[in-house]
Amino acid sequence: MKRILYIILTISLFVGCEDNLIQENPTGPTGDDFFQTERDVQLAVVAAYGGLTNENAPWGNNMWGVEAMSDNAYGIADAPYNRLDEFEHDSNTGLIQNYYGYLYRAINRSNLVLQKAPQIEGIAQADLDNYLGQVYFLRGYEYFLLTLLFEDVPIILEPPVEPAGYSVAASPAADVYAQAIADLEMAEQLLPDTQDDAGRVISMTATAMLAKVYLFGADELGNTAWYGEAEQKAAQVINSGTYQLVDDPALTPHENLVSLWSLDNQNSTEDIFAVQHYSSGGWSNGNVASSYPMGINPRLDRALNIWGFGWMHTYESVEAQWDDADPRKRFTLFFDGDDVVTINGDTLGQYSSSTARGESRRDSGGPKKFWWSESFDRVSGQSDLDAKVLRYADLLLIHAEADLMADGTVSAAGETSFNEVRARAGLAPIAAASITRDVILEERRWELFLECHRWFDLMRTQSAEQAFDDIEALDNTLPQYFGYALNKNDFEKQGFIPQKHYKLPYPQAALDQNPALVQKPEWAASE
Amino acid sequence: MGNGQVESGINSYFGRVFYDYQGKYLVTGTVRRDGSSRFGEDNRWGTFPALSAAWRITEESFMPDLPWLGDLKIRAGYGISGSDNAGNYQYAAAVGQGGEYDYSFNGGEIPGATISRLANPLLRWEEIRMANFAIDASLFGNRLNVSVDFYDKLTSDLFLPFAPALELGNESTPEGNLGEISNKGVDITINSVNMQGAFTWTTDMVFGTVKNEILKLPGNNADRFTSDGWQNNPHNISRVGEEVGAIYGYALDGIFQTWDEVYSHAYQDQALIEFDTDGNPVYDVNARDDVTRRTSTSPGDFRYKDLNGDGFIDSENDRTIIGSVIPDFTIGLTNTFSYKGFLLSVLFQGVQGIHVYNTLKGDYTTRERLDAWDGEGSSNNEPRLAGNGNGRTSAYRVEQADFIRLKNLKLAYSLPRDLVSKIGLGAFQLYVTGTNLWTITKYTGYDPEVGLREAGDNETAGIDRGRYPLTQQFTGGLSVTF
Repeated sequence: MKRILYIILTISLFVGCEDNLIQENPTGPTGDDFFQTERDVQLAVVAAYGGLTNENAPWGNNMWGVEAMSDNAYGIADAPYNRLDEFEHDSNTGLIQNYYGYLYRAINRSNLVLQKAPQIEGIAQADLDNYLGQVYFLRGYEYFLLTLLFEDVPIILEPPVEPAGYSVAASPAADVYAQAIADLEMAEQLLPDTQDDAGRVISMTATAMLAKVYLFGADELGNTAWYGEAEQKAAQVINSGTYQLVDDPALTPHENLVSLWSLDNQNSTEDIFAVQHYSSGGWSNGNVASSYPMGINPRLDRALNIWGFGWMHTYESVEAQWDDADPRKRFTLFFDGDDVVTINGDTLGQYSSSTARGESRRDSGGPKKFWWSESFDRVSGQSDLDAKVLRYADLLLIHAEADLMADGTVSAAGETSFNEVRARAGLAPIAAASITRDVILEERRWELFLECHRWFDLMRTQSAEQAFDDIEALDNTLPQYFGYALNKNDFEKQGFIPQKHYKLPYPQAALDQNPALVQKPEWAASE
Repeated sequence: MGNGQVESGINSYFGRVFYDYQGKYLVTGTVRRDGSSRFGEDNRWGTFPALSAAWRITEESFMPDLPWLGDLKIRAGYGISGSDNAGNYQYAAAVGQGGEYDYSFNGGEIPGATISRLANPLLRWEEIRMANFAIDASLFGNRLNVSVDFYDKLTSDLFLPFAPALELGNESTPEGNLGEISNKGVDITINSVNMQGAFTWTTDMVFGTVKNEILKLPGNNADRFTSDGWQNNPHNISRVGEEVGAIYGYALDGIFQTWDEVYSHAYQDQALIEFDTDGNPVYDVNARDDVTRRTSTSPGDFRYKDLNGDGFIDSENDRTIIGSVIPDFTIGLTNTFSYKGFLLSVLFQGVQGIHVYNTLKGDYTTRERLDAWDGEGSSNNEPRLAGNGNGRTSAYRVEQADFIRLKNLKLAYSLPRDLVSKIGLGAFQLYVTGTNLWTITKYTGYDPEVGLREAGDNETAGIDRGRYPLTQQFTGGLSVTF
């Protein structure tokens, strides 16, 4: 029997070249090509700063969520901060995911420079130190902010490799503080005393940030030895003479405040660390520009295009709590009936909280602090105004507070620091014996009002409950919601639970991807 | 970068072995070896074998010689094929420049750049493993040919982007071989010569049914959505255990007819006083004003189902799969009649068991809004005209989009061959054809045939955004060969 009729066998094998399988991206460099030259390092350092300015990054405009948790201001119903001010946020709140994700995005940009820059040959040591010092500063500040917001967080010090992400547990807050301090000390050591570019950090920027980290850490961790460290670092900054308050004796207190917040006076002698914003004038340039001031500038007259987004108003109680004799009050806030004046001196009309935005309390204040720099008769949605993350007035108050907390009394130096801030505001000095911690915290509140520091002060001194009781007692009118008055019982801060709400939950998106990250017990129950 | 240029290359080698034993046993083996520039150095090449065997039973000596059975063959095959349909350069890291990578010093914009997407050097060929089993029969002197083909197709190492891990901080994630999809189905083909002779009638039918199921997705099988997930945007979901790109939204439980119904239902957007200490909504039950103007939930609005029973209608917990974009079956039926020089060919297409999300439904321009709710008992389907929250993606706009369509009809007349040759021509035919002539469907949109997946996007399907319907066409012609 014929077993096989036929077999057809066709095998075509070409021992060919593989050249066409190796394709360079013709439109841009790929990762393998990057970090070859000093120029690449310089670009990556810029991108590390840029990590703070994305519109979803904290200092893009999202820090308002932090101010909204405080007793200063609340977000209107459709503002992105609304859930935080009512303590209705949870692990799915987008703003919380943005805080977390964009801070790690920024941290990883620093990590990349720290890993790659030392491997590139031919960079002068002083230049290399400068590059590394800048990103150490940024990373240290970012870890400080992460622990302020979330308490325990994963510490990641090397750029990622595996696209599936990390499995890394949260480190205790004490370790995160230690990392922030280690990074800032490296920055202090590596950075030069001056930079060619306005806006780049210098060694003294790191020293000043260390003073703040030590003071806040002393409260948060109960590490009282750090009060002395904070006092010493703050004194070092003051004694160096690097910074001065914007305080021209020829000008009135009000005029000095306008000058401080003027667009013409950015990176002034008072700015220690300011996240830089730049706008080419429209919406399109939104990544470097910022909607940070515009987000809360009041909606004065939309028909005339004189408006911010009006996302926040201040509690009515602020009017009662804030002494009318303090020139900062009417510099910082509009109240009903106040004239609205442009930078050219034209009076456009009177401020009215009822027309400022659909939902606001009668008699509530409208943010004005950032209006001074924007008070043109036509305003676009983006702004050049830098975010003053740390300014000298803050540092002076940190000095006074650390001085007090270190040994229970305010020294002559601390008294001088404290009253320097008051003097610029046109207020009488307070004697050392009368400068209690409450007095300092109140001074910080008015001086730094709407600068997103108040919530952290309430947090580290565990005094939010008292503050909320105070504003509720003074809040007599009801918020309006699309014309329907809500019940007084709906006072939004009533949801605050101290054991839970001082720190944010981990975002669900992080828990989903990072198997080692476990939700905090006080938040896990509600998931 | 919005504009760009990409280059890719592919190399293939191919081998085939064919074995035929007495026309009874037929074996074919193939091997492909493909290389693609879309993968990194170590993963460029994929080897894809396939083997199929057939047994022609009618050739066996033990088979009795049945006059009606011309040919009977069973076939089985198994093969692996590959796809390189991934993005270009995914194996390498990307560098981001401009925009959010920039910063400002000295009051001006300074360019920056950094790694914006991690490399995935492990990216490799997507593999499709298919097993099939088929029976081919030729009956009644080739008058009836039937082929039934069962297949089981597993697409593994499917290209999908990594779920973004927040601590990575990268702006985008590379694609990986991260998904797995199963397709199991049957294809039946029947060709029949019903009448033969001066009058000839043939019927050709193709029938297909498939079950599509997602087995694995990236990020611990996280659901994937095709749009931003905002509750008013129609979108598709890909979820493990379900089909690719099912329609996702709120389920409905009719329309509120009375205020009592409104205030006894879970919180949608009723007039609210507060949430009590247990977190339950306390409604302002006295808010019963004019329903023609009311902006909070009132009679005449949809009652959404509280799927998890927590007393709140929320996008996290109360959306579900509300429509299937993969039909239960499809059928194509062609009947051809010829008599002397005349030929009539009629193609019907049918689709059964498919849904379309009709975005135009409920628009004020559509007819069904004339039946809008205007008082208790007036409608349980069409909400009031000034509604609250009725625009959420819900079962309201999900419609059954089954159809039977007269897809193609052709009538032709050919002159007799001898006559044609007399005048020196090869053939001479006059014809008219019409396409999309007649459709039976309950779908209220322009055209039910929108369920086709959009090119280049496997996960968006079945959403009718008012796409221009298929046109009805008539063509008349004269075909002459010399």
